[in-house]
Amino acid sequence: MAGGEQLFSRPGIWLGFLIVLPIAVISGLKPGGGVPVFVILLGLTSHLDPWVVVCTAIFYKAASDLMEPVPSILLGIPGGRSAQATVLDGYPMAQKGLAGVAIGASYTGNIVGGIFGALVFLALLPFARQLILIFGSAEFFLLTVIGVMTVAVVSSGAFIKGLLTGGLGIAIAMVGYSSIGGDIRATFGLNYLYDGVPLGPLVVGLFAIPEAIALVVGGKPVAGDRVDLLMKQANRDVWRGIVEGFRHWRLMLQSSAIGTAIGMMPGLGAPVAHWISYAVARNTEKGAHETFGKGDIRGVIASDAPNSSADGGELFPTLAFGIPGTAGMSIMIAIFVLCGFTPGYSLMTNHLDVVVALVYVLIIANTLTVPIVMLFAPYLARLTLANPMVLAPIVIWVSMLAAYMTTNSIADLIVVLVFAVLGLFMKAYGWPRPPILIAVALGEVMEKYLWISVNNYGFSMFARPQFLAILAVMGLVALFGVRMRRQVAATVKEVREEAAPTVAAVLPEPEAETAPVVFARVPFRDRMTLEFIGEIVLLALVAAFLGYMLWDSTHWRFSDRLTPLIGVSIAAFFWVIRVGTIVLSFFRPIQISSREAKIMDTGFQTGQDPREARLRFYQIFGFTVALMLVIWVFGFHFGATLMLGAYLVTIARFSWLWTAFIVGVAIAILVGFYDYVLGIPWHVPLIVELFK
Amino acid sequence: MSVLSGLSQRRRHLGWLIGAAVTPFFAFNALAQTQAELQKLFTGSTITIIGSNAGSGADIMIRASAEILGDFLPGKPARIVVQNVPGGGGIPQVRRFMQAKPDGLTITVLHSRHTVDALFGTHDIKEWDPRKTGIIGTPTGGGQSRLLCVNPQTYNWTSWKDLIDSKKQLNVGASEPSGGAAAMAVRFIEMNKGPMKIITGYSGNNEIFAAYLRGEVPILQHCPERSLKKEYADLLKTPEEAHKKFVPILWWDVESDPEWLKTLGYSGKVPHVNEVLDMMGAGEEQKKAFRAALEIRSIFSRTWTLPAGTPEPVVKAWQDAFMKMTASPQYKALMVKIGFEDEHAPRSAQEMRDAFKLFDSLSPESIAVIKQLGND
Repeated sequence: MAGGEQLFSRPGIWLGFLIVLPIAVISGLKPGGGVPVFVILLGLTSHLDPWVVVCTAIFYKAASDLMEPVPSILLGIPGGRSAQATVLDGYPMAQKGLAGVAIGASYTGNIVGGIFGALVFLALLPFARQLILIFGSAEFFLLTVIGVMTVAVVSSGAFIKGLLTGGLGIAIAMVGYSSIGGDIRATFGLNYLYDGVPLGPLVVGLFAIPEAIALVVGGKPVAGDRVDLLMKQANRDVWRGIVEGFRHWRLMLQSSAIGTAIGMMPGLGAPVAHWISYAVARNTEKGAHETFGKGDIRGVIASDAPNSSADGGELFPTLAFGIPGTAGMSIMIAIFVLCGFTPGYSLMTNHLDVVVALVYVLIIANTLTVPIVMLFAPYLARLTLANPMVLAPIVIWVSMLAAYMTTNSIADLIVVLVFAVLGLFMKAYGWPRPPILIAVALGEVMEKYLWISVNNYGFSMFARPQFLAILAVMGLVALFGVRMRRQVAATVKEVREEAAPTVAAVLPEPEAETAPVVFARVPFRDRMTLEFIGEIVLLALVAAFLGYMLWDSTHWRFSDRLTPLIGVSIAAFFWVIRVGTIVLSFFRPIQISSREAKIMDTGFQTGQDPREARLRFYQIFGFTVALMLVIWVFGFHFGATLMLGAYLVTIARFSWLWTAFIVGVAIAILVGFYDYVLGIPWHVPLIVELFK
Repeated sequence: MSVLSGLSQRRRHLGWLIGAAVTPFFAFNALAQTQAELQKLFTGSTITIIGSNAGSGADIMIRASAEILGDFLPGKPARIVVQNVPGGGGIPQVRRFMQAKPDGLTITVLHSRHTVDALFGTHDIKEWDPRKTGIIGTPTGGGQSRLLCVNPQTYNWTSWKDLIDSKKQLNVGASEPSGGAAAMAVRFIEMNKGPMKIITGYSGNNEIFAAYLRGEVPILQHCPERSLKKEYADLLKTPEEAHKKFVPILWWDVESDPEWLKTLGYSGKVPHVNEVLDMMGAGEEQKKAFRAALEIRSIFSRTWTLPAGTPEPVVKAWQDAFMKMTASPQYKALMVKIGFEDEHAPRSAQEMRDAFKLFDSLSPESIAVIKQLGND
C-alpha cells in the first residue's frame, strides 16, 4: 500500500526511529512517567518532513509505552499510566527471583497485544467513524466506574482500608481547577495545585521512595535470597517467560481484545483498559482469586497485553475524529495538524496512506523494541541482585529527577515528600497503596463522564442497550469468577498438581499462619505502639483533608461538588468503620491488626537486626529529605549529584572510583540529555538567588 | 513696539526656524538609534512565548505563527521557544506571565476570559490587570459567521416558538465553563431561562461533534463551514443527506453565506439571535449586553501581549511586526494548512484598546449581564 511505500522510501523516518528509540527506552524506564518528547516533536513540525514527524511520534509513543512495565517489575514502581497493574504481580515475581520470567511474559503480552491492536485497527478502518459513534458518555462513565472498582480487587485482605484510600484517591483527584464548572477546588491556596495533584510526583512519592527505602531497610536485593538461582537462570528465565506467555495465549488474546476495545473509547485508553483487563482475568483464570497480587505470571500478562493493544484502539478516536484518548494523544493531534494532516474525514480519505503507514509504524515499534528489551532483559533482571545500599539512592535520585520533570518546579519535590511519608506509613502498616493510584488516575475522567451522562441521559442511561450490554458482559465475568472460585476452592490441591511447572513455581506458597495482633484486653499503655499511634495520626490527617474538602466544597457549584462529595462520602464511610473497629477493640476482643493486606503493602522486612535496620532507615530517609533540600538550595547539577556521591561513599561505602563513575554518568545525563536535547528550564537554586 | 522688542521677536522667530530645521534631524537620529537598539535587542535573541496547554488550538496557532514571526521583527531572533504552562483554567499561565521580565523577549497569548474577567473584577488573580500590559494584537478578533445547528434525528425541530412553548431544554456540549465567542449565543439563551442548557466537560470540539452525531446532545453550538467541509465531508455529500444531520436554527456575529446554507439543504431564513431573545422577552438591555459581550469576548480572543513595563518602542515594534505578519501571504497559507482560515480576523492593539472604552461605556445593567455570563 502507499503508506508502506512512503515508509520505506523515506530514510528520514528510520533515522527518526533510531534517534527516539533510546530516548523512548530511557523515558519509559523512568518511574512515574516519561520525558516531554512529544512537545519537542511539536516544535520540530516546521523543520522536518511531516511524514518523519508523525511516524516518529507514533513510534515514540508505542516504544515508550513498551518500557513502562520494567520499573514496575524490577522495583515495584509503576512506570506510567498504562503499566500500573503490572506492579501487583510483576514485583512479587521479581522478589521471588523471577524477574526474567516476568519480563519475558510481559513483553510477549506486549508484542502480541501491539500487533493485535494494529491489525484490528487496519481491519476495522473502513468502519472507524461508525464504530466510535456506537458508544456514548454513559458507557464511558460505566467503564471508568468499573476501572475504579478494581480498587476492591487490589484491596484484597484490607478491604476497609482499601476502599477508604480509594475514596481518598477520588477526593485527591478532584483537587484543582474544575473544567466542568470552573471552580478552584481544595488547593489550600497554593497556585501549584491549580492543575491538580500531579500523578508523576504522586507515583514517585507513594511507590518509588517507599520501595527504595524498603530495599535498604531489608538490607537484601530485590530478589532476596535467590541470588544464585537468578544468576544461573537469568538468560533462560526470559525464554521461560516467553514460553509461558504463549502458553496463556487465550488470556493474551482476551486482554488484547479488552485493550483495543477500551482504547477505542475516547478519553479512556490504556489507563482504564489494563485495570479492567486485570480484574476480568482475575475472574476468568483458574485460581486467580487466590494467586493474583502475589506473583502470578497471568497477572503480568493480563495487565501488559492491553498496554500495547490499546495503542491501536486509541488511533480510532484520534485519527477518525481528532478526539484525544489521553493527554499525550492531544499533543499527537496537534503534531498531525501542524504537519497538515488534520484528523477527521480528510485524513481518513485524502491521506489514507498516512493512516496505513501509522499502523505499520505500530507493528515496527513493537517488533523493534521488544527484541531489544529482550536482549537486555537478563541484565535488567540482574538489577534485582544489585546491592540495595547502592541501588536505592540511585533509584531515589532518578525518581526525583523524573518527578521534577512534571512542572520543573521545586513544588514537585514537595509533593514527592508528602506522598513518600504517606506511602511509607501505608507500606509499613498494611494500608493498600494501589487504590489511591487507580482513583487518582481515573477520577478526573470518571467525573467528566458522570456529569455529562447524568445531564444528557439521566436515569435513561440505565436503559441504553450499549450500557446494558457492557453491564451484562461484566456481570457474566463476575459470575464466572464466583463459579471459578468455588471450583478452585473444592479442588485446590488438584489445581496445583495440574499446573505446569513454571506456573507452579510462581504460584504462592500456602500462606503461613501468622499470629493476629489482638489489642483487646491489653493495658492501655501497651497499646501505644508506633503502629497504633501512626494509624491514629493517619486517620486524623485523612479526616482533616476530607473535612477541608467538605468545607471548601460549600463554595463550589453543584457540578463541581458532585464527584468530590462521592469520594469524600466513600472515604468517610469507611473511615467511620475503621475508627469504630478501633474503638470497639477497647471493649471486646477484635483483631485490628493493620498488617493483613495481601498485595504489596505487607510491611518492611527488617532482617535479623531490627536496630541496624532502624539505623539504615534513618540514613536513607535522611538522604531523601537532604537530597530535596540540596536540590532546592544548590540545584540538580551540582547539589543532587554531589549528594548522591557523598551518600555512596560515606554510607554505602562504595568505592571512590565507581562513585565517581556514577556521578559522572549523572552529570552527563543532566547536561547532555536534559540541557542540550530537551532544554529543560531548571529552577534557579536558592544560593544563586541569594548572591544575585 | 520698541527696537529692542522687535530684535527679540526676530531672534525668537530665528530660534523657531532653526529648531524646526533641526528637529527632524534629531527625531530621525532618535528613530535610527531606536531602530538600531531594537535590532540589537532581537537579533540572535531567544523569544519565549508563554502558552497554555500543549496541543490546544491556541498552542497550534502559536507554533504555526512562530515559524514566520522572526521574519517580521526588527532583528532576526536565534530561536522562538513556546513554553507551555498547562491546566488550571490558564491561571498558572497568567501567573507565569506576571513574573516575566519586561525585556521585550517574552510574550504570552491569553484566552479571552483573562481579559474579560479582569475587566469585570471576577478574575481569580486579583492583582492581574490586562490594561497595564503591552497589548500586541489578536489574530482571531471576531467577525465570523456563527451558526447554531440542531440534529433532527435527535430532536424533531419545527420552530423556535414550538421549542419555547414546549418548555423543553435542549443540551449543548461545551468543553469549558468560560466559553469564548462561539458559545456566546447559547449562554445568553440559557441565562434568559431559554430552552437550552450548556453541558461542560467535553475534551474539545471534536468530542462535542462526535456526541452531536451520535445523538447525545441535540444542538451543536457552532457549525463552522470550513471544518464541516473538511472533516465531515462524508455527511455533506448531498444537501438531503446534510439536512438529516444539520438544521441551521440561529446565527450571530456575521450572517452565513446562502450557498453554505444550501449545502446544508436549507433554503429558509435563519433567525438572528436577537429575534430569539425577543421571543423569550429578553428586552433591549439584554440585546445590547449581548452585542457588547460578543464584541469584547471576540476581540480579546487569543490576545498577544507583553508584560507590563515593557518599553514603548519595543511594544510598538511588536505591534508592527504582528500586523505585518498576520497580513502576509505566508501567514495566511499557514492558517490554511492548520485549518484556522475561518478564524483569521487580525485586530490591532488600538482596536483592542478601543474595546476597553466600549467596556467603560456599558451600563451597570449590561455589565451585570455580562458578568453573569462569565460566572454561570
